[in-house]
Amino acid sequence: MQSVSIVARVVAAAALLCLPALGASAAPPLIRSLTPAAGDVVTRFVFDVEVELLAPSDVSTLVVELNGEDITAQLSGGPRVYTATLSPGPPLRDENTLYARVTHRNGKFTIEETADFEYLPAKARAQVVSDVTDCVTGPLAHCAVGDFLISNGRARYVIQQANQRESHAVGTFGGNLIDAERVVDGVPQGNDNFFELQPSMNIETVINAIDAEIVNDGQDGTAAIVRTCGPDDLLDDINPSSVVGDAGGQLPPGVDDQDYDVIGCTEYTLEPSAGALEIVTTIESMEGSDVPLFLGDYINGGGELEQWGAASDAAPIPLPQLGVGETLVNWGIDVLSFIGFDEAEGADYGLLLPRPPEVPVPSSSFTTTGVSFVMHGHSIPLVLIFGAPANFVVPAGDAISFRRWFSVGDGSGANAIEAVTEINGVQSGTLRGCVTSAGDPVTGARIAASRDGNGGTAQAGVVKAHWVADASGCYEARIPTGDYLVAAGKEGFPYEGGGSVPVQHLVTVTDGGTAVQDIELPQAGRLRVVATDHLGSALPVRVAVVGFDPSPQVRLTSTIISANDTRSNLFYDQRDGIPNGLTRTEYTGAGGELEIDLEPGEYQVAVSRGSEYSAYTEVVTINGGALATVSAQLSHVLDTTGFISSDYHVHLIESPDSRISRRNRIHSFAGEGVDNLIATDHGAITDLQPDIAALGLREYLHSTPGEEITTFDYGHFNAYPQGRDDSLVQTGGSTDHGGAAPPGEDFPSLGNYNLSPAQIAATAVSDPFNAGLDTAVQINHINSHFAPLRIDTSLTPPASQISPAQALSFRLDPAIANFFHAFPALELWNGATEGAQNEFLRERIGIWMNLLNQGIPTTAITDTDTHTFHNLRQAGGRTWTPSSTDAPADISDPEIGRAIGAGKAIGGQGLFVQAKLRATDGSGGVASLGGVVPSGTPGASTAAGTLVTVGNGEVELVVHVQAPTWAPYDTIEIYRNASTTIAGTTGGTPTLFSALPTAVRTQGTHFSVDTVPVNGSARLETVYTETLSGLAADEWIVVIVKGTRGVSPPLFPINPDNVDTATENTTLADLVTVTAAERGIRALGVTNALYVDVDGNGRFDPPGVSVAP
Amino acid sequence: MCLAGSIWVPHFASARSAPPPRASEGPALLAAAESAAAVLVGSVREPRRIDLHGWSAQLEVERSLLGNFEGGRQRIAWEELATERPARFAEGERALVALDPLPGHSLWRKRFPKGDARAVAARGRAFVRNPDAVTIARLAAYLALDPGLRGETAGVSALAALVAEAAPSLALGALDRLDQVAGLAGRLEPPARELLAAALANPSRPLPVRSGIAALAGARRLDALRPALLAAAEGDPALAAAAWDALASIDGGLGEARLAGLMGAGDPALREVAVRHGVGSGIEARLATAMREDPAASVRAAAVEAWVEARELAALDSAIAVLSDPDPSVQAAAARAIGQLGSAAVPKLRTYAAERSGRDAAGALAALGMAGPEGRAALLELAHSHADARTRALARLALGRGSDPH
Repeated sequence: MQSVSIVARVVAAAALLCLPALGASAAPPLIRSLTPAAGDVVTRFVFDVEVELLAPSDVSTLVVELNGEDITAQLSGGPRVYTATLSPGPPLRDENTLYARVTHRNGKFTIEETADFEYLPAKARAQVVSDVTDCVTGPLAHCAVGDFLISNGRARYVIQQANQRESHAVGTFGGNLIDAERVVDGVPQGNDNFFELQPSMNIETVINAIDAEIVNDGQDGTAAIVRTCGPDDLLDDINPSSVVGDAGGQLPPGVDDQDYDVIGCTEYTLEPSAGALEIVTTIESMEGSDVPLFLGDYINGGGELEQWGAASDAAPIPLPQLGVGETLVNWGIDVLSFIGFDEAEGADYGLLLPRPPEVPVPSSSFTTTGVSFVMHGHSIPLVLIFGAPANFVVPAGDAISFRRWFSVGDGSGANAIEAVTEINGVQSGTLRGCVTSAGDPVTGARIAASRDGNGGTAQAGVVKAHWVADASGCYEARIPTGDYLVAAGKEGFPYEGGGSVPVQHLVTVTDGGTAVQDIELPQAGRLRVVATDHLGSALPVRVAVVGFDPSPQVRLTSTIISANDTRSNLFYDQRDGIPNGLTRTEYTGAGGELEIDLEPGEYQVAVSRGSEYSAYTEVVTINGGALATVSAQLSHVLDTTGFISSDYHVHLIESPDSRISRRNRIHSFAGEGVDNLIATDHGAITDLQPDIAALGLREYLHSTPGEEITTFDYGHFNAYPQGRDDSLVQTGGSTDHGGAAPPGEDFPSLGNYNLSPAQIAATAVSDPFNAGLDTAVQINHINSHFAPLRIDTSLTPPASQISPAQALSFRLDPAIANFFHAFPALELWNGATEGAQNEFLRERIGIWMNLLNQGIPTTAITDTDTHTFHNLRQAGGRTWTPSSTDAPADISDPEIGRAIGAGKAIGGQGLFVQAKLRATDGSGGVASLGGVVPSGTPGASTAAGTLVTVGNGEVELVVHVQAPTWAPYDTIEIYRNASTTIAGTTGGTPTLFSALPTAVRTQGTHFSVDTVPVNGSARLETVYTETLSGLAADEWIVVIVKGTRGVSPPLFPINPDNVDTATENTTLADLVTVTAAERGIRALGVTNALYVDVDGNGRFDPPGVSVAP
Repeated sequence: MCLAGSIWVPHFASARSAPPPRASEGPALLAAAESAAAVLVGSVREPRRIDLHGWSAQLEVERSLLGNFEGGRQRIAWEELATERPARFAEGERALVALDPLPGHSLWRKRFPKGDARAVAARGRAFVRNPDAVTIARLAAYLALDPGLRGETAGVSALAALVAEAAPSLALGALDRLDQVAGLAGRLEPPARELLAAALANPSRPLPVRSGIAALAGARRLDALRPALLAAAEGDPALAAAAWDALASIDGGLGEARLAGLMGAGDPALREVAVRHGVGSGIEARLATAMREDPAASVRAAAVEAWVEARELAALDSAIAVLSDPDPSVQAAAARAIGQLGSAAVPKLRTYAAERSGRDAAGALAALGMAGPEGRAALLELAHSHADARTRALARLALGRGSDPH
């Protein structure tokens, strides 16, 4: 017999079991071997199965099965060896059984052989996370048990499980891509900095996934697939109809809060070797008529990432300038890329978008405060300006799908360009090179390949590819063919050629070719700073380098109206720009030391530690390749015993619009000498205590967990202290201001509204995780609350004046008549700039005083609302409250909540102002802002010692001012039952108010400023006493101390805002001698209200609102 | 979530009436049938949910159009993404389905460990409910052809029969398939031509099918359908615009008298045909009036595009006012047309935008954005200097910039 009859039929398992099993000793061996053999591990995707017969002539039939499935028909060859080539797909799986059965030609016996082998090439996998150790890790990893991990040899992605609701920007619902990390040589890189990608159905609505499942686990060697499905719901944190209106546009009809009977399913598909995750969303309509939809995605990079939209050549209108940074809106992009920096260097992400003809026109993006909406296959400006109709229509009862990809790269933004070039089949070549300086690689150098706005190479205008040089200083990617201007830069290094702009090399990339452009940067110098306190112990500090940057950023949108518009650079995003007059700002850690690259030149180095410390300055010369060292000794010069300072409004990486890492945020506050950092991320409760301990800074810094409850339309509210629910990984249990509704029903049209301000306050305070913490809630940047709700605080009681329709546009219950709620605290002064001081004094102070005049005890809060790092916003105002300890490590969170509830707080930037009211009637009564507020003290009252009762119509006001010598002051303003003035109206309703001081006292005329030696340095100090007599009625009293232009010099360089470098300070010599006549921010301090009870009834009887004409 | 033991079906819109089952997908059926493992007609029995999205049923087969099937029952499977709507196949319902082998994915292997089912092709979209005998017969005839012949004359004839006589959704699929046939006009033999002509003239055929025939005739220049198109254009108001459009494509235009007549028609769709084909004709001068005064926005939009295309820069003075048309779609059309004139149009556009504000200026601002570097420079200047804040905001928007609202 020359050949074996191959039997192509399924052999029933039962039949096999019934066969007489003959032992090897009882039957002649017919099968020599099976391949793969038992115990083999197959590591190739495509492999051969072999059956080798021992005596082919004795065999009449051969049956081969894999995992019970007959594969005999796939065999070829013979007579001795039969082979089948297997490709990925069923029935292959990780563990396999190969079975062969031969029948002897005499038909009297059958031989069976089995081989169990493993099929383990580098597959793509989808699995449910059963243990947190399976999770993607990194600063923004939000993976939890029950989520879905989808991975291959290049990257790992986490799709959040369904049925989630955590009020956290684009992260509200489940079923979305939440984590991503690169895998190198099988090792996950653990550097997830990605927040979330939320598929959107119709601009204002997104998919609220209510189910998720693994469609293919990838064991068979094909793509791994996870699918999530759910109805449309409003994303409560974002109300595009409002922001579009602010930008001058309008949403098309059928979009604003529109509920459709639709379901959206998103399939995440990862091929084994793919560098990008394919994302296909299908929208299925149950409507009886066609549904036009503006499809897209909300995407928030979130972490230490710079954003860059790669303009599409197929866009209907090219932008003249588009670089690294957030631009409000564009006409069409191929990629929305996110490039890691600082701790995230080495990670990048890209949302890769299809080109026509798959879509009618390229997709476009709209970005504000870190969150982007990418409209699929449509130009957003056309929609906003003209109300252009939707490009996609779901036929009645039918479905449509749209596709895009998400990539994870090695930190070089060009990865995404390479991937989308491949996906879209664009002609491409390789551009590569290395950046060196004095022969050494410049790791982390930025390289940009750009064109001008018309696609030519007249000048760099539109960045077409962007790299971050790797550890060897090199860069490489396949990019579309064409001519490019290629340049490199790195902070601290001079530009190539040593000029103020980089050399641009004209490089031609040809199809399939390789262009090489190496770049040599001049040598950088090094600056080392060592900081100690007056006893010689290491001190965490801020280091600011004063002077002019020899190689300033190349701005690509520098001629647009305001600073907020100019958000794009050739190499770096400028969102966190260095203030005028400085070239570098950094913070040391606990060791008080740092060393940085600096362009050669002459600078002043300013070492400081915030308002309570002296400062040190020294002019240094930096030479290329040389190290200059500055040793700075700072002294604690303010006596704040019994008080701790806090910043009540701080953002970091968990906020969608802040990309500051935990380390940098902690270092910046330790360096500014703030005792307590109240972490108030948007919609997330962040606990920094473990990080502070890990950085060795417990001695210097405490952190109170809080959150910023972030409504889109009617204000933000900070709640603190807050307890964290660690089971909610993403937010820690943030306050759901949107008001959860059953999936698919969170629409005002279905009677489901956002929480009112009063409901928000009640929800935050009553959270069971906040029990015992005496949680306080403040209104932030209060004009953003009072103005949109049109709350007139001059009315008694204060009342909102919005119409039901306006309330509905904010997704609020139109049946609520008055949206005013008496929160215990108002953030009156937030920021570090002169503008922030002016907002406080010119627009907000009167709101507070209107409330005081109505007997609504409200605490004024001074903080920074910092989202940034290098621009020194964290160096703005802070608030001191009484504390039972002066040691940050021992700070009590509930004490802080109670102090705010009781109005015991002092705000200042450079100044620490204490005030007391002393009775002169012999009673010994004193009202002050000192003294810890005991547990159980009723909030929003004068019960904690801020009221003094006098029997003689007289009280003595004692004002004690302290300041470091760099923060001079000259004026004391006293407000007593003060009148207010209207500073702004909204829709005709007065909403913003200033106030009129009752008395103004000036240095030299009414008081003196003494220089007092302390700790080897000195402070400025004043004790001013004034007797207030003839009091006929109860009064509240507030004291403000300030420096004024023309009398006191600005705080530069410790607080550098608004110094003129265009005309007044054009040289370093000018900058180090900023005078009283010059522009710049000045010292400011403010007390909270103290109360005088004149009529002796033991309480404060308010005078009523007085609005001056 | 994956389900164990029980099946949870969410009810998240209880206030709404029950949605209808998913629409059938004739177009997908025809495409899928060409490569399907089987195409069957039968009655659905025992439809049941397997898991959250998975469904199966038995198909009591009455006829096999394609593939090997020995009769009896075929287990079929599909997915319903929208879990709250009824399954696409109801008990006892007759269906024509194209079937593929089950997907190899792990979820499907879990559903059908024995592999004893076939999946409704095109991800569950390849089916027609309650097919009539003619539909079945016409599809059977097409599928009976050797695949290599389906793009030839025989296939075109079979497809034409589907267009003319099959269920509407399948007819639309057949039109799509005809549009893929290379050299279609040469393969359209008399029987097929007559079928298409008859369908075009048949008022009982659905309008989308008839319009589709006209569009196909125009796009593929099917001169053989000219008489039928002319008859439809002159005698069938519902089809007239599509027919005139097709005739214009076939003939390279419409005569002046015809265009004039269409310009005066009451139906805006006919006037739109006239303005679209009016460039270079005797009615060209009337485009300027139409773009300003026609009561229909679609006509004004088409007119301004045609007018600017015809007169180029010479059209600017008359067309520029259309940038302030009350209808945004007309503004957008004018902006696109005028913007393409480039730098020469910029001075007038700049002046026009500067003298207006808000939505009146939006068209000119967008046109500047499309008018090249000089236009964008003018836009930038307006973004700085325009007296009206909203107009400045629109100018920034057209530049791709805006102020941060926070």
